[in-house]
Amino acid sequence: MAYIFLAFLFFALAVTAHISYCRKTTQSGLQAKAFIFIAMFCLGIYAWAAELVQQSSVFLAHPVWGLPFKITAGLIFILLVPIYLCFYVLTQLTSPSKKILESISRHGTLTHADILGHVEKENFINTRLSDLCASGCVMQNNGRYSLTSEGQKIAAILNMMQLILGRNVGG
Amino acid sequence: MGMDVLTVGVGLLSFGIFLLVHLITFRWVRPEHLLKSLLACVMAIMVCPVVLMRIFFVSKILDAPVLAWVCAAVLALVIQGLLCFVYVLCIFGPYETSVRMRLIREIAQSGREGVPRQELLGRYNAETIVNIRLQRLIGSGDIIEKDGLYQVSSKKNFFFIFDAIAGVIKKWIGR
Repeated sequence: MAYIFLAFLFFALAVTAHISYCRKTTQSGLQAKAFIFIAMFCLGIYAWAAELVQQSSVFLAHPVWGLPFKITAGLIFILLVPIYLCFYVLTQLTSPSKKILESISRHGTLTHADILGHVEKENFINTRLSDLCASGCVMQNNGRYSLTSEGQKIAAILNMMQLILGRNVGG
Repeated sequence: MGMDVLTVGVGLLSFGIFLLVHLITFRWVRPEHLLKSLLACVMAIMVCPVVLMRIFFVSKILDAPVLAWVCAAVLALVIQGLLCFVYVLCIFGPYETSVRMRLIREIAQSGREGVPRQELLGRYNAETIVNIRLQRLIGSGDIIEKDGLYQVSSKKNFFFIFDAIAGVIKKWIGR
């Protein structure tokens, strides 16, 4: 269990370092890549620390701390990275569902038209379209939107997902 | 080392079983029942790592103390849970709910000539977004609709934990 403890410790350190970085940076926008680099660095330190633990007879002799879950702990660390990133992204973006819940919560009760009005104010479609153009997935020519090669690859993946999942288009 | 590899293997196998059940059954789940069905599926499959570890323990596939087997079962459960979480948050969730993904698919339908903005908004707009989400939120019990009025349910569902964690992170970041 020493390995599990180390994995959680170094993951907590990675999150702390990322949050400190986000507080201090002057760059706007998501700092997701920064967390990935920090996490990889901390994973490296975990691997080194795990080797030290393995060589230490003090830990290995203990019936609980000496349990051999080095790879398991490393995998848990790796899986926590995308989970933290999803939560981090949630802090920076407002989803339509969250906007709907917030609007209704603030006013007590709302009609469908009221809810629609609140969602329209957020301008979800236009902001997402701008993001897609900025990220190079969509291009705009003479007022018409079309997919770039990057966007076409994403569309192909989504079509394949629809085939596999057997569900309708999302959104 | 053997117990370590077995733990990871059981976690991955359990996730594989979840994925199989999910891919077979979820094609018939309506959007309003999606969240509850997903939670039920994940919870039901949680017994897999425990059952598998029990089978391996009884068949004495490895010589290890009982404590090691118990810890291995718990950790396999954790791995399976985390894999399900990653799948839902990073793959299934964005496919079902992402506005950007839907826009890409709508634009893809028009081929090389592209689609004018008005036509795009005719197919997918704020009203579509609201209708899909209201259907889902009512189905999950987050919202109650009565006589054309919508209100937030007093009952918290499992997914409020996501907002709580995101809220804590946002508070720490301070932006």
